[in-house]
Amino acid sequence: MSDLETLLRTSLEAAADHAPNSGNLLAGARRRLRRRRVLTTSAAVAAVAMVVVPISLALGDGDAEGSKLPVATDPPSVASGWRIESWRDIEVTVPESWGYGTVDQWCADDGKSAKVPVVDRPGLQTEVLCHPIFGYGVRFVDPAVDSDHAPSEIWQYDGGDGYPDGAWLASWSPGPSSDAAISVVAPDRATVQRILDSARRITGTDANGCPSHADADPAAGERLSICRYGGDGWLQQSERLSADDTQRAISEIGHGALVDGSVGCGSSEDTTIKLGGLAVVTLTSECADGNQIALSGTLHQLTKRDLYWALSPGWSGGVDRSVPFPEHLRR
Amino acid sequence: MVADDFAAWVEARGPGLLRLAYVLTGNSVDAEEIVQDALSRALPRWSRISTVGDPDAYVRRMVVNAHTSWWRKFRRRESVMADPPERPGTPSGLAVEERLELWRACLRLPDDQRTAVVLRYYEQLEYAEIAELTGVREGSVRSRVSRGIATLRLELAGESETE
Repeated sequence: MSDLETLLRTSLEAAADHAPNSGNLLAGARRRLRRRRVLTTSAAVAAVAMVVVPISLALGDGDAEGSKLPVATDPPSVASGWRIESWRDIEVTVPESWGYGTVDQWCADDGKSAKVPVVDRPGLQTEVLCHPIFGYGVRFVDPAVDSDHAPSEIWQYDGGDGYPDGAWLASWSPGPSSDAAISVVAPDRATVQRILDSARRITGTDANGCPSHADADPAAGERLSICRYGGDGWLQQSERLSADDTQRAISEIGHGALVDGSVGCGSSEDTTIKLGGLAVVTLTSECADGNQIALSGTLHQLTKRDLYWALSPGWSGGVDRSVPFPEHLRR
Repeated sequence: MVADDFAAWVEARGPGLLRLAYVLTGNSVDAEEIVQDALSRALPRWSRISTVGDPDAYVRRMVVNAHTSWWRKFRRRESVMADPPERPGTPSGLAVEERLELWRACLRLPDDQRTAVVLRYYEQLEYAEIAELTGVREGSVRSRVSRGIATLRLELAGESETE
């Protein structure tokens, strides 16, 4: 061990002497457990405020007739059996059968979903400890906090506690200074290869019609783009509704009571969800009374049907129990 | 009784987990946060965890995992980490100053490098153990530790030149 390494060890041990007292640990852990159970039961945290609607669309009261989104060319279609997943400024296609979650929670339901790979976005908490630690799926990562995702060859895991035996792995990022990367783990090499081949940096909008940053507007089309952005403005998730669902969404959102004035709150932690050029929803933890949806330049109280359409499958956020959360999310 | 057993285990092992969490996070609030988080997840599974070969290692892994999840989730809110306060009786002099400087430099490392460095030099784990704990290849662990050490060496050399 070099002098530096010895000094480092001493330094870390000395720093550890300043760790807090452990007297509150048990009580704090129990409090957290109770809180998590309450949150799990009610499926909730923060509040919903509202923003503005860059819309030129007229919505009738529940009347879908005549409610047409501006027609434009839809982005290129995705191969049957596959779907688009985006995060920040990269997008990939994954098999339609893949779910959502975290790759290190594959054993959370006693292993029932062990064979179902997931799309994993930063921000989800690890709930359980699985063995092996990671299951199959695509994990979006921020290279600034996880620097081990430079583009890599596809390789096969040769045993251990990290991944399923024989799993195929690879990492990809669009460049050395990129803000996003992916890590892929799949049971077979061909799937990894196909996902890597589909990966690209988003320029303009992704295949679901969503720009990589909240500053820009979603693409107009006959199908509604649903674009979710984090507090930093980066795209978190995108979705494009089918033509039928688009019409249903148009007829069902924005029927809450009109609200006078602006919400007047917001924070850097806001989550913004743009429903095409139709409406913009902002979820924030600092505006408990702001559960509203802005539509056609007016603010409405948020309804369960609004959120049903605004929250894409795999949505990983939370809302306060005061929010009219739908009984079921779209799948 | 499971609850009593868990309480006794926390009393015995809690301080060590907090020390590890403190060197991982660099501040008391976050250290307490991630240890409480890990324990709150261990509690409902304690009857199972306590029967595995090494519950200490199991929960330590949970703390490291909680730290990883924590930095992903909350890093935008992360505050600047403070120097540890000097305690009465702490020896003064060049060695102490150098140690503090090294600690500060360690806190500036990217999270994944700092985690690897802490597990290697504070927990004194082997590379293979760190790989298993963090779920990355052993080669990546070696690379993270190596890059971390190189950065620390550079930073210390820079400090020496400016003195």
